[in-house]
Amino acid sequence: MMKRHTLRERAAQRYAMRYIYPALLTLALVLLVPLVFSLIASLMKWNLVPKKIGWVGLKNYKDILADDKVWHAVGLTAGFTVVSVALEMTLGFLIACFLNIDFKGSKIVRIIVLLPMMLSPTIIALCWKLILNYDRGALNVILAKLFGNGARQVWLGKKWAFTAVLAVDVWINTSFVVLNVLAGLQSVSVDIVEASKIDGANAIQRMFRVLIPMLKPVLLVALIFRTTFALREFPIVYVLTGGGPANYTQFYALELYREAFGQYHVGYASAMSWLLIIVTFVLSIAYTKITMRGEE
Amino acid sequence: MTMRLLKRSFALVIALALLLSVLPVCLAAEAPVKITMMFSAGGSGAAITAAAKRFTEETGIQTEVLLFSLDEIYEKQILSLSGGTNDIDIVAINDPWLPLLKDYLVPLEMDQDFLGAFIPGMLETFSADGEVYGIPVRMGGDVITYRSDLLEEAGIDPTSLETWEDIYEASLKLTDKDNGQYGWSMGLVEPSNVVKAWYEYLVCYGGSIMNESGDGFAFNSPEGIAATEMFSKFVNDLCPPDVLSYSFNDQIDSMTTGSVGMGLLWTSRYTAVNTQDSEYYGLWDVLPRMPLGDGAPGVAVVDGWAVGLSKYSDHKDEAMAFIEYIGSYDEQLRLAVENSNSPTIADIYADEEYLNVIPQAENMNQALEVSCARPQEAFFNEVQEELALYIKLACMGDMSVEDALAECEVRCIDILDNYE
Repeated sequence: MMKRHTLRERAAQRYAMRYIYPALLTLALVLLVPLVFSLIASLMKWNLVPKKIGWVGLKNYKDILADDKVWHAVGLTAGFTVVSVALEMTLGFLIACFLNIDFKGSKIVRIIVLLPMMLSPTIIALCWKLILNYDRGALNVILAKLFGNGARQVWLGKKWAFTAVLAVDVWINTSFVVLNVLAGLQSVSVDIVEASKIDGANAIQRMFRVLIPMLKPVLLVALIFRTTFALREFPIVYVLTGGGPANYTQFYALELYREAFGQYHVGYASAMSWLLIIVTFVLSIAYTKITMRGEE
Repeated sequence: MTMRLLKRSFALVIALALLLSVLPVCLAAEAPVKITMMFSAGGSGAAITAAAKRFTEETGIQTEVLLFSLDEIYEKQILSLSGGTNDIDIVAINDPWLPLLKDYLVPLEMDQDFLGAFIPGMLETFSADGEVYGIPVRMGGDVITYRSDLLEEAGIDPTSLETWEDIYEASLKLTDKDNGQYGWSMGLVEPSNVVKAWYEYLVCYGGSIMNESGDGFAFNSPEGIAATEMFSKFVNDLCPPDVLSYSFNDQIDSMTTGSVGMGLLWTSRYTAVNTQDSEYYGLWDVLPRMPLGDGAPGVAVVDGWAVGLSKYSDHKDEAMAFIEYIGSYDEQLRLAVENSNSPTIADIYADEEYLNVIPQAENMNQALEVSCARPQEAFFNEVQEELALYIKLACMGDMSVEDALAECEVRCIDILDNYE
């Protein structure tokens, strides 16, 4: 009886798969083919200007590991990722907790908080570039009005450029964490929270002993997404500073772009992108293992 | 009955689908020929767009001008041409790009009278191996532009400004940082911008980027160090604090709004600065010579754009017609008068119509009398990026000028080795 049911299920699955195969095939074509192509390219010296093509094996990878420009970019990207993800996760969690409370106008506040996520990062970065402009930017105009001309800062200069990029990134992406955590919070049973209250748990204990453990899967998804996106941060920094001044905000993705589309070193840039994929993949697995260790 | 209706509906759907799939092909077959080109946004883009519009009106050949920043044009054209695609008919050639682009261009076989009208040095910039690959359409040079009223107020006689040190001292008198007044302005955001501006100082100090045989570098020299130190002094003491991220539009804004008194300005941008929309209209003048370096002669760096014909173009005849049109005397005169183009045809400099509109043209010509172009090497774009990085690091005080140039030279030698 059991076996016959399984066979029927398998037949149903096979039937369903007929409808899924075309989509899988399309995905394989648009994802796997370029991936394999770039993997092969990463093993070649392939320059568009002047045209040069030849098999070099792992030389591109060795050269990348010995390239101090790459290491400079790695350092900046690592610092940026750690600080931006930490800020976004913390702020996102706190804002979501606040927005989870019902108050008059809470729906409007939720929409406003989520707005940055709905806009194009490039457009947002262009707006911020205007706001941060030294001469006519709103920020300096306000500072000058309040504290005099001496309060003006070169926000996209040597001293502040990294912080400015970081602040804009946090401004845009915190809403992504808010959205995730808010959805998670609304699925948490009120009864459990009430029960913990009755058991005498204070607000901090409820957060760390009840809410955060229950939100772990949601927080993990937000963490993985934000980390991978921060590691390959491009549009905001490209528009705001273009990696400058000099190389003060030359993140890994910008360095990769410069190699690929500034110098046309296709093979070298492909190897750089594969290293980024590997790092992102390893980090995602590590996050999952660490976060889910307790549950196992 | 139902079955027959179904079959008819099915046949109708198939027929409609076939019709819809054929329709675009039919429409395309009847569509007028359109030639496509990319060009630098800003003044250059406005000039070429105006010319393209007039060309379409006169010939009926459609044109599409896609405008991007200089670096984006380089990137997009190289990708398109190296992929062998036919999406660009007219190729925009910035002067150092010729060695990279010439393999994708058709040598231009044009009437000798037509070619002979151009200023020889400009035409040569876009020629290689005895062939002409591009017709210069918007070229100019960096000249010293100043507000005559401010210099007069400060008691400075412009004719007394002979050396870079004189210019520095004069600009310093115009600088009042606390009140947002600066003596000097340049566009420095893109690597090509910063290297072009720095190169102006370098050549005036008697230095050069490449050595005489072209197989090594010469910028890490006493002349290079002196020029870079002077350049750094200008950036730090005289310019607005965010000048390292200034585009050319920012430079023009800083001059038209009156926050800057002098600057290194490309001749073709002169009318954008001396515009009637600005309250300082008519007050901008041009020094008739380039400043001397440390005993070296003043030399102007000339640069600019030419148009060439893509070998992958499907509309070569129409594209050639456009190249001939935009290179003609009449069109170059119109562009000079209406779009502030520095003429590429020698006779226009003596044309009354042009001199009436830009009386400073005479000073510009004198300033550009002794001139040179940037190196034309296939690897120059990579070298330029390194130079821009280390010049900026030196200007920001992260490295001494000596260390910056020495380290940059090592990097540039690596690039050269890779090309060999």
